[in-house]
Amino acid sequence: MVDLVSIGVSGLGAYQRALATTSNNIANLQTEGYVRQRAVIESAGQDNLSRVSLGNGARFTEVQRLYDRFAEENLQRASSSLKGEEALLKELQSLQDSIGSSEAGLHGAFQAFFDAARDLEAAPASPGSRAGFLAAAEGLSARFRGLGTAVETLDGTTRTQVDQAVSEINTLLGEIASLNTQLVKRASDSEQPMQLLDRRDAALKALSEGLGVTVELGPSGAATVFAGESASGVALVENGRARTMTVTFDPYDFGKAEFVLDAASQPVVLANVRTGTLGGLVNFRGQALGPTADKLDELALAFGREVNKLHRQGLDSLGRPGQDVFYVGPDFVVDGRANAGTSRLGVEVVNSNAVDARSYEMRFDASRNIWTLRDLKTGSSVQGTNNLVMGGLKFSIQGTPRDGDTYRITPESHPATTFRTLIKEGAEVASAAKLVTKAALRNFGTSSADIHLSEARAAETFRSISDLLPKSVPLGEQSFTRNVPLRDDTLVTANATPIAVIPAGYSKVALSTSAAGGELAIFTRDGRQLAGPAMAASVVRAANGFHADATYSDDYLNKTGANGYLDQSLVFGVSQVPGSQLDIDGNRVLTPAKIFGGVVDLAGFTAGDTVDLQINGETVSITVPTPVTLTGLASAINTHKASTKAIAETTTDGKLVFKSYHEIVVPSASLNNTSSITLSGVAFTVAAAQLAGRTPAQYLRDAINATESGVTASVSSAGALVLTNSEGAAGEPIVIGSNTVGLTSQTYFNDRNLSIGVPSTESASVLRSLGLRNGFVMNAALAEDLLVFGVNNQGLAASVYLSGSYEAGSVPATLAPDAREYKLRFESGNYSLVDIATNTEVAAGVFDTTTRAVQYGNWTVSLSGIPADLDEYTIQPTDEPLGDNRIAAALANLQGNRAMLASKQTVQQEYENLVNRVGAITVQAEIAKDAQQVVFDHAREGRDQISGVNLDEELADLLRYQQAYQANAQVIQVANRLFDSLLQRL
Amino acid sequence: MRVSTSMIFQGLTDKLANNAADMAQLQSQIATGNNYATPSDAADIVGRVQAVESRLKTLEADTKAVTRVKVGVDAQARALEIAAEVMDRLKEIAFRGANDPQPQAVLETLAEEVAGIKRSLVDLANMRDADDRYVFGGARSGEIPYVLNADGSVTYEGSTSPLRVRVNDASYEDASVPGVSVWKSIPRDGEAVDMFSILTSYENALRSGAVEGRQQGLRDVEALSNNVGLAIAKTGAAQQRLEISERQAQETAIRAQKSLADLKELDFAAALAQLQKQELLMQASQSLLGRLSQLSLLDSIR
Repeated sequence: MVDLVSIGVSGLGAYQRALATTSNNIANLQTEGYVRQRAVIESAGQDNLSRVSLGNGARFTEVQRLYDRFAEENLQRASSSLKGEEALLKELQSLQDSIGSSEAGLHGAFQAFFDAARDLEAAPASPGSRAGFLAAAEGLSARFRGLGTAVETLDGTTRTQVDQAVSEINTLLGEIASLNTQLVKRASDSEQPMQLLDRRDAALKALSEGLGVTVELGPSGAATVFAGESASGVALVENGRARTMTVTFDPYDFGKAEFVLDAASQPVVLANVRTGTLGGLVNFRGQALGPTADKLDELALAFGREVNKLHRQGLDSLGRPGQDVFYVGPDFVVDGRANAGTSRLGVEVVNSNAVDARSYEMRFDASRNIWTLRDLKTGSSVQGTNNLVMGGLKFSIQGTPRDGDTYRITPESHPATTFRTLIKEGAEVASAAKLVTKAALRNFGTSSADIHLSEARAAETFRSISDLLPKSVPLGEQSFTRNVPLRDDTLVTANATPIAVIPAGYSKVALSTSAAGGELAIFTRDGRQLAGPAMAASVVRAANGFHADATYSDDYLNKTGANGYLDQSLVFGVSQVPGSQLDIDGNRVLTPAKIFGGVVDLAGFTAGDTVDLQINGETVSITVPTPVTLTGLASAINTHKASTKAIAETTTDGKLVFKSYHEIVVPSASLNNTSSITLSGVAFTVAAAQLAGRTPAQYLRDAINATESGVTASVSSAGALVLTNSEGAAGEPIVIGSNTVGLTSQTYFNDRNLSIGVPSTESASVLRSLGLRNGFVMNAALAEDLLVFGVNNQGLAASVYLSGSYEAGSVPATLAPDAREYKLRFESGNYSLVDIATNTEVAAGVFDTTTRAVQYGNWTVSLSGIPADLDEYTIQPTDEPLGDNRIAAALANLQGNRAMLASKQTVQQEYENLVNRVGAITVQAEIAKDAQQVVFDHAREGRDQISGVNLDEELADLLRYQQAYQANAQVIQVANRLFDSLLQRL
Repeated sequence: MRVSTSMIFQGLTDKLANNAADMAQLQSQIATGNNYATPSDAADIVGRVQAVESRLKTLEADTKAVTRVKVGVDAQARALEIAAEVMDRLKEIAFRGANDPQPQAVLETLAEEVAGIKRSLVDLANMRDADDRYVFGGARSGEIPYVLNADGSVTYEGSTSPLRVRVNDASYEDASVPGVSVWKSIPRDGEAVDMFSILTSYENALRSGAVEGRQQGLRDVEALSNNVGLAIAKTGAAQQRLEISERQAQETAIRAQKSLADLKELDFAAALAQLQKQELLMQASQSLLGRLSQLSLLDSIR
């Protein structure tokens, strides 16, 4: 009886617990991560009697957790992939909506710009067309900025999402580590509280949604978590330790993000973050956002620069040179906060075409007093003291740096976001070309001539003079002066090609060759020989650096000034400028230009012969005295001092010293019968009574020459009083005191330059016989390169001992080929190009009837046909820019320009490609997301098949356990009744 | 297969959400008349749509450019037509003037008329179009190209480059041509002599009565007239080309518009049918959800 009760009680207890388990399942129907539980009831054993065995009832042994590790991991993986694709797709759609919109995208804005340019092309004088062009330019700028900003906004929001995801991941990693700590207290996972395991699985699933992970479960159920697809590398969670993840973004490159574990202690870079929300965001930034930002920047830079380049070639409606239409960054930010010195760094754009969005580092080395500027992308570097140029940027240091001071220069904003229109008035739109051609009315030919600015013609390149002579000695310290006998001559071996090029813009060029041999021959690239022994015409060929159609000319050979090339001072010989010094009071004083020769080789002259010299540009014939003496030679030279403005003096050691001649001219109109003048403190006054038929000038001349004032006077043919230094003091300052002849009371310094050369008709050896070095001197800069050949007296290639000085600079604006007027004349199939202002034939050659083009400097004239004989065209700066549409046409033609971008696509095609590329990624992401959704649904079903709660099933269990419970209760009741029956019998 | 309760409801709610999204998109398409409401709805074709839209705008710009060039070319044609009439009169004068002998008074009258014709030709050479461009000044279209000097000589101040305007992808037309290519010089004694100098010397020959000069004038006037005839032919050809360009642009625009419509515009019939289908699906899903939510073992075992 008792047994019966205990059997009933055992069943009652077992099914009560089973009912509780089922109720728990029902209660957790919607609990995230809950794993269904099942009550396990076993037989409570039996009593073995002699012949029969009687059971002892039932026993509730355990609550089983219906968990399949494979299904759970599958779900985690699928969830990770799905979240990644969802995050990627969501951001891609945002990006596509920005760039793919007809209203906000660039395609339409480019189109509007080109349409406006065409409108301007058709009606350049129309204020409406000009205003329309500006409005379209503004519209394009706004679109660039708008898209740039949209991309930056996406950068900001995805960064925030990544930061949030990283923060949530860190929280989950900490939670898993904390759960591990509790789990490892028990040896087996079967002993673990199920709630703990559910929490672990929920945390792992949440973690998988943020970041793709691989999990290894230990015997206790503790999870070791690895990032990525395999259980290798550094664990994110191990036992009770969780690593902390941090993320850093490249401030400029949207595609770059670096994930680091334990950045503060033992940093480990986490690579391959590809799945989960984090992976999706990283993929979006790398695959779409970064490339889109790069492409927008490329378009902004290429288009902005090309438009600016064209616009700068034009003239606005008021005849002013075109300015940049657009400003295109990047803008840079300079960080030197940690520097100990007081230096400041300024960064400015010097060549906008070369500027790229790169980061630089500039570091100071005090031991060498040198800054090193390094391009952090390419690693290339330059060094300098305070001004360094790299990548189109000039980095200028001011103040005092300390050793190790470092500046980091990083691009702050993307070019697309800085894109803005610089010109604000329609009149500033440079629709006209800088140059215009005009035909003579009498031209018989019917060819029309177009002119446009072009790239400088390609020519063979040779080293610059600064490479050949890296040490440029300042002109004033040239070894033409007496106390510098030793020269740093460079031996340049004989070469048929130019030994160097004097680049355009170089001024104060003074090259000299030593007596040891060699002369210089100087040419323009158009074949004009400017100095040196005449060379054979065959030297003019492309291999020697000449332009392909250049022809030889000696029209300007060894001529200077008004007779010279472009009226420039070009001397084949030696030259000197006045010396400059400060007196004790700090006043600038000039010493006269002097050239000290070596010992004169008298044997080099034949008595009675004449030799031609070119002194200060004046060609004079010197008659060699008989016998040939040093003083005789000097006297012969000095007979021309009035025209050459130079005198020669002898020295006791057989040398000549040439000095610039000083002269003050008082016009006859300034003189009268009461005129007075004070020279070096001595006053001279005209005494009317003593004129005796002389003019006041003649009177003063006689009076001055009769007195030791250091000044000698003469009267010119025009009746002017000419004051010069007395013999022995040539070129020295003349002190003028109070006077009534219109001169200022002051010390008159001699600021005249001095040059001594030979004309083309004379041998260069004459200079050497006079004890002078030979060479080439050019004071002002030209707008073109000059080719330098090393030759002998006969103009044949020879070795040269060369030294010299030069000053690099910019091309003089007045000599620029697009600022001057030229006459282009055709005759007998040849053309001749003459600079009108100086009547210099700057180029000539055979007219190419195939190309029908003549190129010079930075322009090209294209003729529609073959010109007739004697046809003439004038090339001149445009004087009526309002009705000229040539630059507008060029701007409109940019629509079809495929040379602007490296891809050889037009800007619109390139943008279309960008939209298509992002579109393709979006479509792929859509497909991938749909596929992952299917995988996820399957994984979820797989997991729910095992671990999910089915309400009907639970209700059935509930009924079943309830019935069992009730039956067991009946057993007890039966036992009770049996017991009662027994008691009643008793 | 064992099915959990959440599986049943999750599947149904997912489908309901998808249906709702599809219907929202269809409604948006129908409301806008476009195949897509946002670019991301049709990520694969928006690039192409932008290209076709730009092409259409280019064609509109072509048509506009043709119209503006036509203004100039028509003015050239009109000036040349008048010049041809003037040349006819000049030829009559030249015939009369070449006859010998002629009374000096007649020659003087003819000379006066030649002087007047020269001034008329200068005026024609300085013709302006409706856009205020000098149509014989070339690229220098904003300033008077032919200047009549006090001594009776005429100088050309225009450009030798034309005011060239792009009228389609490959062609250009000149809204203003260089005057020297129209009012051309003619050869005399191996040298090129410009039209106005010819007229001046002819006028002088008439005044002086020089027979040789008057006969030379007859030959010169013939050559000048031929030049004008040639220029008229060239201008006529330009007008024809402009007509063709305009027609081409319009026809291409129609084709481009059709392409754009195919890509962008909604097929309303198909969209409405699809919307009806989605509505049915939606109703079915909702009904299913309702029924499923009513199905419970609990109800059956009460």
